[in-house]
Amino acid sequence: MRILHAHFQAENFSIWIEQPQKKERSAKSEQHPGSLGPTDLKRQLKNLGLPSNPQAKEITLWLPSGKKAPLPSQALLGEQDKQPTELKPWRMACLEYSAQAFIPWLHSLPKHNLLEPGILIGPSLRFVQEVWRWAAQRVAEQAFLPVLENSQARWRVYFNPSERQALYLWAKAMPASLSAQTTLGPAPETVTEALLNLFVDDIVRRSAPKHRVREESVFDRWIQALQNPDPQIRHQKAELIPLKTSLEEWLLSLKTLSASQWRLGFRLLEPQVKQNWQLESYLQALQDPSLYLPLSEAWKIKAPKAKTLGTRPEELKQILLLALGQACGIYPPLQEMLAKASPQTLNLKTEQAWNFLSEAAPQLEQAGFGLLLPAWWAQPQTKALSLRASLKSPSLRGRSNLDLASLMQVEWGVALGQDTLTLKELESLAKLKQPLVQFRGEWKTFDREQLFKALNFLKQTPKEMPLQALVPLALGAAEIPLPVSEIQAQGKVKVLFEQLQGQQSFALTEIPPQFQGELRPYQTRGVSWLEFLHQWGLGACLADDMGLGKTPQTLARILKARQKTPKAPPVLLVCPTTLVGNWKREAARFTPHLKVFIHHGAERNKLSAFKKAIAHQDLVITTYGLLHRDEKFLLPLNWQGIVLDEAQGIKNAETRQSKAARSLKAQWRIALTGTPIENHVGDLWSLMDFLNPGLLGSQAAFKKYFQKPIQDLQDQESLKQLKARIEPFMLRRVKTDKTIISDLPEKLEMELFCPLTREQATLYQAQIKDLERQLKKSDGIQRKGLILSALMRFKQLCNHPAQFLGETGPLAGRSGKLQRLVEMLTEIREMNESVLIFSQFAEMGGLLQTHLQNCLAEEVLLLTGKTPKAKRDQMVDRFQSGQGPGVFILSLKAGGTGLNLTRANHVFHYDRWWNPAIENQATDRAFRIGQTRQVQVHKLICSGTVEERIAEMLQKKQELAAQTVGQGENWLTELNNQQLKALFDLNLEEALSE
Amino acid sequence: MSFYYYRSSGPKKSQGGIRLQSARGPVGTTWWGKRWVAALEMLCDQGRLSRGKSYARQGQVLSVEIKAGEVLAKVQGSSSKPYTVKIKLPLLKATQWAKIQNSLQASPLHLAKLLSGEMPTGLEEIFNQAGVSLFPEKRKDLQTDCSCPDWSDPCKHIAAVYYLLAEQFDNDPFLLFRLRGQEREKLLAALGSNQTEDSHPPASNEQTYALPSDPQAFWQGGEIPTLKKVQLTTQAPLLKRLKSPPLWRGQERFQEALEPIYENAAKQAFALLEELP
Repeated sequence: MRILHAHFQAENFSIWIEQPQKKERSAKSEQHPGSLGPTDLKRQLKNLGLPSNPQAKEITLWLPSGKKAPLPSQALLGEQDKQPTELKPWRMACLEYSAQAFIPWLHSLPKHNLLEPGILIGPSLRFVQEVWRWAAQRVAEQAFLPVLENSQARWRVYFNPSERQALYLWAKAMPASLSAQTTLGPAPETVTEALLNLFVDDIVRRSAPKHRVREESVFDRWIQALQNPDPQIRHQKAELIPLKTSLEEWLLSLKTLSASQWRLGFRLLEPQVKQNWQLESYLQALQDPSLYLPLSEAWKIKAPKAKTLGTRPEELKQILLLALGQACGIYPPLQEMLAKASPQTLNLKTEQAWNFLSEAAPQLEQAGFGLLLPAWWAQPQTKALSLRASLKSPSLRGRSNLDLASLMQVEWGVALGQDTLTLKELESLAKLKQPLVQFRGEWKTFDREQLFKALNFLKQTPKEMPLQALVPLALGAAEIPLPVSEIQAQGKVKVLFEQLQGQQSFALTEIPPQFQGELRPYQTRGVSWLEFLHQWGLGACLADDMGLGKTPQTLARILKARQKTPKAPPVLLVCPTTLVGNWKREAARFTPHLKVFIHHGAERNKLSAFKKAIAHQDLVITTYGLLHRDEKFLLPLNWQGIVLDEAQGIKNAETRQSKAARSLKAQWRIALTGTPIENHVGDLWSLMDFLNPGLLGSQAAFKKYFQKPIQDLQDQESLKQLKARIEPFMLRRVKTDKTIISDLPEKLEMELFCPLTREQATLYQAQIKDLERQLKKSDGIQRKGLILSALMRFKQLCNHPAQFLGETGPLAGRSGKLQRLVEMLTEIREMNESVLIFSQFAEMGGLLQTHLQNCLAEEVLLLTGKTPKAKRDQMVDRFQSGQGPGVFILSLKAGGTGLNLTRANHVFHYDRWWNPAIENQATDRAFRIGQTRQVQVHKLICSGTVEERIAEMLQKKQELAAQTVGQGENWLTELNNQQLKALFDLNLEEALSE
Repeated sequence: MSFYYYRSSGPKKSQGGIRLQSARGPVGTTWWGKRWVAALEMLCDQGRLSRGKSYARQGQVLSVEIKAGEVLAKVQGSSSKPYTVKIKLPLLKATQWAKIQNSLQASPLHLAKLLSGEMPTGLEEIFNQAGVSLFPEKRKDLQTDCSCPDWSDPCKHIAAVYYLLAEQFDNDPFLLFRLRGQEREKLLAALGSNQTEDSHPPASNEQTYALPSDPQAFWQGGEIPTLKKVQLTTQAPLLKRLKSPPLWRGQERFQEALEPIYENAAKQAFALLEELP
């Protein structure tokens, strides 16, 4: 794991990289023992897209250190032992960038911290990026000013008094490592502001129209230098003084107000009966925003009262006058407030009030004045017009069933806020001079353009629409010019809408007797729900927690569909390559009657053969990769249904496989996923576009109205609206839900079948040949040893080629097992659940630790036989505390007994010890007294290999008595050569993943 | 006279002079600026006035210094050395000033307007009541002098300075008070307080900040504040609120030079934010 750190000094950014510290090093060196050297640093930063032209430099930073070495910045890089720390200087190589060279790269950094496996964005760099975002916001709001600073023309951020507080909050968030060249460094406020100013200057300068000024005076050169890449002004001594004086005087009034503890604000009051609108002015204390002084009161205030407010009457008067005078520049009618000897409120007619609300108020607010506007003004829903429809059930002349094609009588109306308007009322609104009107006792505003759209809509829209077009509208998804606020329906249609919105339950379906195995009640509900949505032609996303059985529910659903129309084209199921084997097995187990066809692997069918092959199948299983590659096979077909497993596979709408998935044709669609949607709002559009096209509008609109507000601003209102739209199509049950867990077993054991990579398969085949040759030549004890060591080598191979070959380096993409493990851990850790991983090989434990840390970007614990006792206890404590790391790798021998690790509710057996008793003992580290949740036990097995065959034997207990197995792996040596060959042989078709 | 015309083949080109911000038409956009100009136009012939105006537009006025009762200026004419221009106005007497102060206190609007850079219309009335004229009205209210060889007084050099003053007064009426012997601070004292003295921004604690040695605080920092929704602003309210810097000498008018930069910057920043991953 490598962590990118940023350091900011003198308008330049230095990047250095920290990795785990080397064990052996000269104690006296002041070189940071974990810092990347100049050559590696340059290469790494170049790979990450940073310009590599700057020469590597050396900087010295003061870092929290133990006795001999600096502490790692994160536990990911090594232990941060609890020891007294002090600041010590360390040298490290860095690359230094100017803001100009650095910012474009900064701009491209993703939101998540893991830049790529093994490369983490450190908090200092993240902070710099967020300050950039802040700077861009200030610029977009035009809160900046030109200044003259040390004979440079610069752009600087402007804070009005209330915003200045934000700087202190940001300064608190700044990691000290960003500025650590001295122990008594500049204050975080100073650094943060310098950073902010630098970014503001860069954005404004870069976007300037590059207009050339004829340079005669220093004033012109200043204007020009505000737009040049170089802010420096050429000048002669004393030449700058008139410019400096002029600019200082210019900013004087602003500074005076900025320094004040009071802020001027305006309050607009709704008119009383037959009266005018009232505009009041007030002073508000910045320290105590609840303290308001109306203008009249502030003006007449006497010294004693003022003193209790910490001010003097003159000060208040002065602020008032200065601020009001400036406000007049933005909204001239304010002058009237001061026309008489004592200030007063301003009367506004409705038209003027509209003008104030729509034009002056936003400008006043931008310029830093306070505003108190009527509550309805801020609420978008009362501003907007919406459509209402009331549906009449169709007369079902001769037709027995209501379906999506049924034509509905629709009566449309337009609502302003909660009230429905008549056409006449609507037309009178259109004649108003300003879109501000008192309507049935309440003031409302509306968008004129929308009003005309509404009028047009009412005049032109057909009175009959198919139910299919109305369903998305009923759920708030509008394809028409106005949002739809309500659809009233009766009878069956009403029931449908209520069922969709979860207000009414739907009928439970019957699970056919051909389904092997028992579905739990909540699973039957799941199948019924899938069927219910299908009836109405709607796509469904089953998002149950991992372990709640999405697979059997889906298979039951498929089985029912096949029984109803056995002659229909098959159902297509798309999943990641690592899951093909699993689906095949689960289908054979739960729905053995279904004819399953796998379209996958290098030897898969060509087009003509494919068509023939699938003609009489029930279920075709393929992978995401082939969706695009075999597009011409898959797209032209009219599938009965489509299932996307791990549907986050199509999250990036732009990718070819996502586009291909969304253009597949089918009568019904199901997506399966196990992660909560709040964490991945961005992925939703593509998923919903697959399930129910149009439901979330265009991708651009979705980004604007949902994704950005929710991700960037944590906007709860947008999240609520989004949830309301997608909830009807999403079923998510969680294990912690008591109504679900009551009928769940306490321990759930699952076998996870993983493919081999091409590299693994090649090595495996070579091993088999080798073994065969050697078996022929050996017998007795030698034969025994040969078999046992072969078994071990096969296991290592299945684990990872790197373990088999005894190397350390790159691990990604070489082992199907490892890939599957990472996929599952990502999902589990996202839900903040904890995991034990057992392996019988200490060296595999080490490989796993490195790789998992790199992929998960979090600390992973490793306990082996070599771990000293004290360390073991410490690890167990940290894991159990709930605050520490959430993934714990243990060697089966060292960690399989004695420990209490009940914080984990997932146990992985990365490789198998062919002895259920020992495996169970290990599992019991988590599954024991103190465990409050269901424990899921995942056993990883490579398909088509010796691992699978032994697993089968164990399950069937075929030929082998339990006690024989209990003795470990010696029984293997009793098998004859023929049996051994059958055991070790590789079923390439089963095993291969590509 | 003919001698004079012969010599006057136009002024020497100046560099970095103060320019009128108004490119054409009459100078003095505010009522008080107009009043100021009117006083000059009463005393000076049309030819000198228009030459003076174009001098002011070309930036021939090299410096202007406004002091109590006097304006000193350098103007580049046809001679190699700039001419020195002096304009004198009578200072206000203490009693006159007291009366004015008194009236100002009763009228908050006047002060508010002054503070925001506007001369209230009622101000002239207040001056008249105190027995003084705010603007020069008679020949003896305005004493002018120029080192140029033109016998006529006011000459075009004086006119150039005078026009320039009109525009400065447009932006900052306090300058008119300075000329009459009252600084901005004294005027504000009418409210019983000084605007600037006790309002320094809080001092930064730069010297006392010590790096933390706690690893968490050092490496992680605190929680980054959530940004509110950004509002694209294109009308530059801040610029509007501040108007132009006094005695602006740029080739282009200040607001006109900056407005496009403000607009481009806001749009560009908004677009960049939209693009962020």
